[in-house]
Amino acid sequence: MPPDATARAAALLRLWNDVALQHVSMGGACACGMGGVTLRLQDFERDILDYLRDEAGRLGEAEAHALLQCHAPAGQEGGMAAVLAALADPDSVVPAAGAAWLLGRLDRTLSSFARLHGGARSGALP
Amino acid sequence: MIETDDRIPVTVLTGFLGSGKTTLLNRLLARPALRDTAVIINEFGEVGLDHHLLEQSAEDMVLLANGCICCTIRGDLVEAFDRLDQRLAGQAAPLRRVVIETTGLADPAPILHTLMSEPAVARRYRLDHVATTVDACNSIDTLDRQEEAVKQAAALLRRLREINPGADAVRAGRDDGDWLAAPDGRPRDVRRWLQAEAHESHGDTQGHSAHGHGHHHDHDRTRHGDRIRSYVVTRDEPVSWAGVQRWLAMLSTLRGPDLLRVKGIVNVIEHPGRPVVIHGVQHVFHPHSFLPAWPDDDHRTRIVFITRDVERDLVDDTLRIFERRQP
Repeated sequence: MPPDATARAAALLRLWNDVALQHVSMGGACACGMGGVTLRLQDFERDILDYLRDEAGRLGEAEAHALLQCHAPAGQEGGMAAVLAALADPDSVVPAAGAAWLLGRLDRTLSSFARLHGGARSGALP
Repeated sequence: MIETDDRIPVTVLTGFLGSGKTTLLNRLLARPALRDTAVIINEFGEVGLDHHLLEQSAEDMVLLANGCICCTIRGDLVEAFDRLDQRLAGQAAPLRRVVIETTGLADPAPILHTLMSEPAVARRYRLDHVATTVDACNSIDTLDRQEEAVKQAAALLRRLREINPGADAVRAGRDDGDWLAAPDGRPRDVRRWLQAEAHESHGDTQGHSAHGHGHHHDHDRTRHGDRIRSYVVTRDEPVSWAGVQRWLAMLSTLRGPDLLRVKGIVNVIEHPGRPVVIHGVQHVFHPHSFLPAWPDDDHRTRIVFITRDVERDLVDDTLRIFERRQP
């Protein structure tokens, strides 16, 4: 893995760890009665990974698909941190093309979720 | 200006984004007493949808898309009345009244000013009512955060009683159409309110209300402060309804207060040929409804967003995650 790719993956891993477990609470004082609902980005981890697996399969990105299946198998909970950790590991043997494709998608997707979650603060990647 | 009352009465229906203007108008137009009413709809956004959601014959509607009516005043509004006259020329049924549904971000004062002072309009039409809808659930927060809503709501309740003691307050769902069917006959009250707004606008040197509106100007029509954005998210192919519902729930939870208005027609995989209509304001989404068929040949999913500090790419990127979700 090229050093810039591992650094990018490490930054995404920090971003995920920073925002994934934070709770967002809806206003408890609202007259509509919706107060009290809380949400974490981690609640959408499976949606994001399912999307990435589908995209990789649909577009013939076999290396990326294999990496996702290895660290975040379909039908199982979690896996985002494991995928990012594998991409951030300078000693890993992830094929460069597959890693680049996956990093591009992860960067855009996680940054968008993080910006939605916390505004501009958490969307700023190094 | 002609002062006789044989001119066609015009009602301006205003109110903040998602406060129920189209819903109220639909209910009003269903009343027999309000037949022969023409509607001018203005929408703030790239794709107009309210004209699809309004159950009125197309001949009696004029759509002013892509721009706030208060920013394009005179040109667009005068032209809309012209087009209305042309459409109605030669029709047997007389036109009894006109309703202008403003965009939810419109400042009503310049609209009223044009109605009352533009000779080409005032010759045939007269301002009769100004009606403002207020969402009982979101109104307090909206009034705190949006200048336009404050201006619109100035015609209501406590402020109304201070500024315009002659106006009535009517609850939607009760006595809906009677006030519109009856002539108002109190134009001076409206003018006083207008003058109060004009005074306030001229004294403000910041923001949207500062530039007077008495002249033509060419600025970004969808710009109501740097933080407000209006855009439409489209999809050519049908999307997962289960995914869209989860996406909307996520958006409304994460950024509910910044979703000033969300409305759209969605082409869903689960129900071919039956588009789903969605409406939302902030974190509250009204129950969705299925249309019996597409209203025109455009079968794309089109969802209009008016947001505060929520950029288009965030909305578009996150929809991509959910749009193929399995039920």
